[in-house]
Amino acid sequence: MSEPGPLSRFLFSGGSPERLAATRFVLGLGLVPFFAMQYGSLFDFEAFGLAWYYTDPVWYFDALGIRRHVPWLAMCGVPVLLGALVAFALGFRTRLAACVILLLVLLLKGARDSVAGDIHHRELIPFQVLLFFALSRCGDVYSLDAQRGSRAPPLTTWEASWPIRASELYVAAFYIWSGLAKLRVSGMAWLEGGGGMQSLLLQRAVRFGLGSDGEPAGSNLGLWLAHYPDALALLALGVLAMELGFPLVLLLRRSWTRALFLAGVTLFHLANFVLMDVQFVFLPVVFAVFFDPAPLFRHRLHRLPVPLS
Amino acid sequence: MRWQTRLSQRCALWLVVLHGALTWSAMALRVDQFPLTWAPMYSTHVDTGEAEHRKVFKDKRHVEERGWQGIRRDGATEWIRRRDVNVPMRSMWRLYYQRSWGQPPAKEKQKNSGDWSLDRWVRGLPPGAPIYSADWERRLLVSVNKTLQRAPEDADFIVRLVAMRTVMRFDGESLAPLGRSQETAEIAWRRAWSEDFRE
Repeated sequence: MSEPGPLSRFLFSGGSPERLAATRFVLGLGLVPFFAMQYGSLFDFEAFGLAWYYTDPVWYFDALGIRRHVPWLAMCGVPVLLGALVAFALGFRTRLAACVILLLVLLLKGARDSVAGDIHHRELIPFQVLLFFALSRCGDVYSLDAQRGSRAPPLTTWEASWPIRASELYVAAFYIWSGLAKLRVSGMAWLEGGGGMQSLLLQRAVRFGLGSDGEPAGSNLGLWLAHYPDALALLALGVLAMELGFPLVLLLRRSWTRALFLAGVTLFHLANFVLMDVQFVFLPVVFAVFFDPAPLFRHRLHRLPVPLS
Repeated sequence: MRWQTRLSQRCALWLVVLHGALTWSAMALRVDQFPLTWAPMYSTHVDTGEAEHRKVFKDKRHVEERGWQGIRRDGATEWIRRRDVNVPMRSMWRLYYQRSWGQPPAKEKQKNSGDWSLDRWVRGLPPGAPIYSADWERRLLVSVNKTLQRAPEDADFIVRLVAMRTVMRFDGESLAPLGRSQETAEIAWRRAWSEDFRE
């Protein structure tokens, strides 16, 4: 038997059934506020009012001939999505719940983005991570499915590892693509003016106009920061370095070094949200795949059944 | 219903390899169609060298209470508010303050910027050629009329849409306000567009 290659060694090790179950739990519950934020605007329609004719439907709506928004349908989809996330977290009909989530993300994202033609990328990581988990046996262990008398064989290490490792690879790729895109589109001009941050901060600060006192109706903090282009250039450089260097997190062995790096990325998303209303703020919940959250739930996990052998 | 399908180790490996090949190819070829992308976050910034910043004020009250001024085929005018076309405020910002002025979504700007040529070469385009374009004036007028269930031959068909906005100018260096001005955009229906106006 030949030696496994480096990809196989990476993919099929490092996980455990406890880690897989705990990660499923964290992702399921952690993505509830994330998706609630993404699709909250779908409740800004009148449920049974006119059906907006999409200005630029997403490609799969176009292919399926979906040209109009059906407000009540999208509104119904949001609570079903949130319910499916909870079911996924608890391991109740896990694979079905994951598939429902994936389909509803496609539907709700399409409904939201087709109205004016913008494509948002915030759902990409959760979608791909949930896809890996849907294809895995994450629901066969420490789950309500297992409690219902599953006869599935116990999870092996490789089965518990690959969905987590594949998710780690995708998250790392997502960030490095962000850095590469900056270089491809803007080149080193990205660093001038702080990667457009000055312009964006100014736009966000004054987007609702100026008050009677001459102060912006938006974020004063953003306007204050916009006055320091050198600091913004440094921040832009830091962002570029963080994105291009993100795959290094896969090489960090110690949990605290990973935590430190990912805390920095989380701070970046938080600052983007506060200063520029960029809604990646709840995305860092997916960083759970870089840790073993099982010790946090050890006592509770062992109250749930593993599959019968 | 429970799906008990188990992947073999070899199958899981191939799945991850194929997934990686697909997503990295999309990145190389600048495919930006969910769930694939090549530019997941803001990436467009080219210093225009202009001496001032021009920033648009978004007037929620105007969009809620008045919105677009629509001119019908019979010459009458009407206000088309956000709730008249039943779109959420976040989308209305983009439709009113961007598409009405011919400003495309950020994705279009990203797709068309830069001159790296692999993605263009695959499409048979020369370096720097626009990859993506859409007639936003037409799209907006089609969306508004179809939402309001009006056909080109109807007397109340909207043939022109007028939008107004306030623009504030700031000094490029000090960011000191330099003044504000009112701007008007007007988009008009073209006869040729009526030919394929259908559901």
